[in-house]
Amino acid sequence: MSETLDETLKRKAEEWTPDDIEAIIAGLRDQRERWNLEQQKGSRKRVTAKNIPGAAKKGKFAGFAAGLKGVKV
Amino acid sequence: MRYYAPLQDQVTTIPNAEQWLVPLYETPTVSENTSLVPNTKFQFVWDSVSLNSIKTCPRKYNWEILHGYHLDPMPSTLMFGIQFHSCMEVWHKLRAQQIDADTALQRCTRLAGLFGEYLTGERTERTKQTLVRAVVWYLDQFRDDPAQITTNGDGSPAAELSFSLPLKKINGIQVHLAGHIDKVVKFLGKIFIADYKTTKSQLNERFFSQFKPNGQVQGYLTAGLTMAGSIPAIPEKPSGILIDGIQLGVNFTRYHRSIIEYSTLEINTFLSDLEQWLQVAALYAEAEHWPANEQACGNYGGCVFQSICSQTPAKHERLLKSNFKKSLWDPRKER
Repeated sequence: MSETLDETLKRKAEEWTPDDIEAIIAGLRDQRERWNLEQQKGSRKRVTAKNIPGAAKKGKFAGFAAGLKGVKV
Repeated sequence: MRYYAPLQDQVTTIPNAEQWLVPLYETPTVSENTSLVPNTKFQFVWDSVSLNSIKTCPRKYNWEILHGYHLDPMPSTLMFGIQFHSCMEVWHKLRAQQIDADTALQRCTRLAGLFGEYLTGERTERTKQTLVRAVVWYLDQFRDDPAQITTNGDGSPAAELSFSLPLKKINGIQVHLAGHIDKVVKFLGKIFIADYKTTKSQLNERFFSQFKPNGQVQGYLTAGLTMAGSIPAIPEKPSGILIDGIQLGVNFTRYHRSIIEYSTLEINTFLSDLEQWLQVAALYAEAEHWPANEQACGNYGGCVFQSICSQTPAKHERLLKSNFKKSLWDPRKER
């Protein structure tokens, strides 16, 4: 499960992890690619960040679970 | 293996924001505008902001520059521009320190996010999201930019160069032209002063036509021509201004690059015009009277002071104090 790019971007930047930042960059590249395709087609269709995958969803207990597993979230 | 540089950027203040984020007028700690001759209203260091202001309307200049009255602590158009410039400056510095492009991009992305928290969102094209996107898309498009940034003597990139050029003396006082050059680049074998310009308008001929004639751009070019050969960042006379137009949409960002050239004659004319403007400014300061230019009231959607000017002069000061915030613009402050 992942957030949308819009959701990830709306989270406080102070809390962005390196993985979040990678997901943001990948999401923005995806958005750019899709927007370029629409432009080439001559379409005026909007490509919003709400329709682009963002970072992996963080559950309520993600931090706790990650602590147990010893992995970074 | 991927290498992550430690993400230690902490944004506690916006660059240059101390000029704007001074508390309300009641606070007696409003910082002094050091570009004025002490105990006078005569400005001896001028930048494009103060020059544009006095050219538009001397009364506006008095309220906006000399008294520092503003509607917002910092307009989002200006804040967004400074934030974008800062991200680009950091990019160039990281790359100059041999940080790989992917890592530098990650750090600039995070920095854009941190800066973006300060954008109030009253302009839908200038938000945290549009700032992060403008930075990532720009650095993807211009990652291997053929316009190579020049370097200072210490090897650092020639980004955000502050200058203060001595002009002629007016009433025995040395007057300076100050500003901040975004970057200096070598492109197609020539040196250019480069500038980022963000807009929500289309990047067409009309957009680029605003840079000729343009006081700010001519000021940068004057600085470049004056310093050429004397500092490593500008090894030879710049051939013009390279404008990177950045169109900000809510869901897209578009870029277009254009070169604006000025002849020596055009620059000299700018300088002689400037001298006349400064003579006029000295007359206003001497008389301590800055007349209104009613022809400018409707420009660009209307002057912010129009509602004050439409009232009887007896009410002006009270209305300014109750409706505006005070924060002084000082051209002498370095970025």
